[in-house]
Amino acid sequence: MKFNIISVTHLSRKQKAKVLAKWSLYSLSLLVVFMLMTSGALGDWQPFTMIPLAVAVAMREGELNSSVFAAVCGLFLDIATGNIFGFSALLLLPSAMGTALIARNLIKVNLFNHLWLTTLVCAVMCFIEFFFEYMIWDYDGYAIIFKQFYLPSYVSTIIVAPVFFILIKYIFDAMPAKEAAVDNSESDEKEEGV
Amino acid sequence: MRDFFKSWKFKVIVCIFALLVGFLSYALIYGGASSIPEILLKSIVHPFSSAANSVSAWVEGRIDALVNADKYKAENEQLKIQLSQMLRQIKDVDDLQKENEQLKKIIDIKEDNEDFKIAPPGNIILRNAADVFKGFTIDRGTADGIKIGDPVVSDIGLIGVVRNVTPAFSEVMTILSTEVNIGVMSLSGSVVGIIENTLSVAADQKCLMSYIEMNSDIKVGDIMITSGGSVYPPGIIVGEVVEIFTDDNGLSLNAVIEPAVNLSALTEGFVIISFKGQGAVLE
Repeated sequence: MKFNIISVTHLSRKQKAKVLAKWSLYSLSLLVVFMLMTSGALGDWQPFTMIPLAVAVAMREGELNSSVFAAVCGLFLDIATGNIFGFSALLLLPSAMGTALIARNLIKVNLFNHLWLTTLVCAVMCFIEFFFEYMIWDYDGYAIIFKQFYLPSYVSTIIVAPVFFILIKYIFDAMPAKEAAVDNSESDEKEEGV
Repeated sequence: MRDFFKSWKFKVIVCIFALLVGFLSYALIYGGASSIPEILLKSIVHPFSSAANSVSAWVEGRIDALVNADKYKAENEQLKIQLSQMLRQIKDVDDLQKENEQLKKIIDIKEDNEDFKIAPPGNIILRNAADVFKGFTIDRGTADGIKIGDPVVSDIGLIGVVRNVTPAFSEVMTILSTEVNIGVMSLSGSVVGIIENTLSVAADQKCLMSYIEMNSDIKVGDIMITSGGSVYPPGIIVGEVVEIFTDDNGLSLNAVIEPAVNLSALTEGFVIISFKGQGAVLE
């Protein structure tokens, strides 16, 4: 088996620099959203911004790259939310892989698709997290926690999702997609329109 | 898509997934204990989250100051009012405490001198800094029964006499003044004399006792008290003998008396408005 995770050997020096710059910008975006989350500025309405960021990257990058990025996003999300380390990463990794596969094979990359994919990932994550943390233990009044904490946060996550779609689009477009998408050689980018 | 699940990329993803399961299992088994990757990642992101918190707190503070300016202004006004009320209460408590102490002193004086009628405690409100005799004004006057010539005392001893009086204020001339004439005697009564000050003695904050018999047994350290009369009641401590010398005429002795009351540190005085024998004239 030939390990060629990030095959940049066929790229020119300029294109390699662009790939590096693109992933640096993705990472910087992750760091910024992490800082925003941990600042606690939005209180109960604090969106889990790593989710739409991971979905937006997954829609444009290859399965492996986006899965790794989503796993890192999940780890950051776990630190920011105080979840058990690895819990969100474990959920975001297959979500990103699935998103990348769907985006490559079944749907076009546009805002609407990003929005419903984000909503789907949010719903799955919200349910699993809430189920394992509260429902399974049958705490008194867990519905109040869902209403006052989970619902506002996940709703605000979906509300801010377009910002991340646009941000990632700009970063991606700034670097020539076909040349820069390192393990996305088979990718047939389908831009705009459902 | 089917090819993907057979590719090495999918296997790598499965490996990463397994790794994450490992992290999660470790945390669950060890009761939420931090794994090495978690510690490492937290160490890396800690400065960023601290910076974000600082910035957030700063921005929040500025926004809060802008948004709630009216609220804080009203709160500030309210607090100012509360503060002034509390300051007034503290002053009232201080006044009551002071008054309580003064009344205790009056009771002490009255216990020894049942015939004394004392005006309410007088606080010194004006002190003439240029007055070598340490004269002062108290906040009691004719309205409190005070009249010219009433003796003024403290709980320790004699202060002086009222020289001038208005309805609300009284001017007090101290025992350092050259205008006072006070009949004094020793505690045993064997030594008698009169306080008649000179400027040079008064300048040293002391009194001059004259007309002491040459063969009297006066000695340094003797305590002198008022001998009584129409102006000063008997038995009030005046001071202590610090020096004895023969008068210029060679017929009597003089003594320098250190006043018992520290006239420079006084803050109050009690005016005796009535005592047995006050105003009596020898026939």
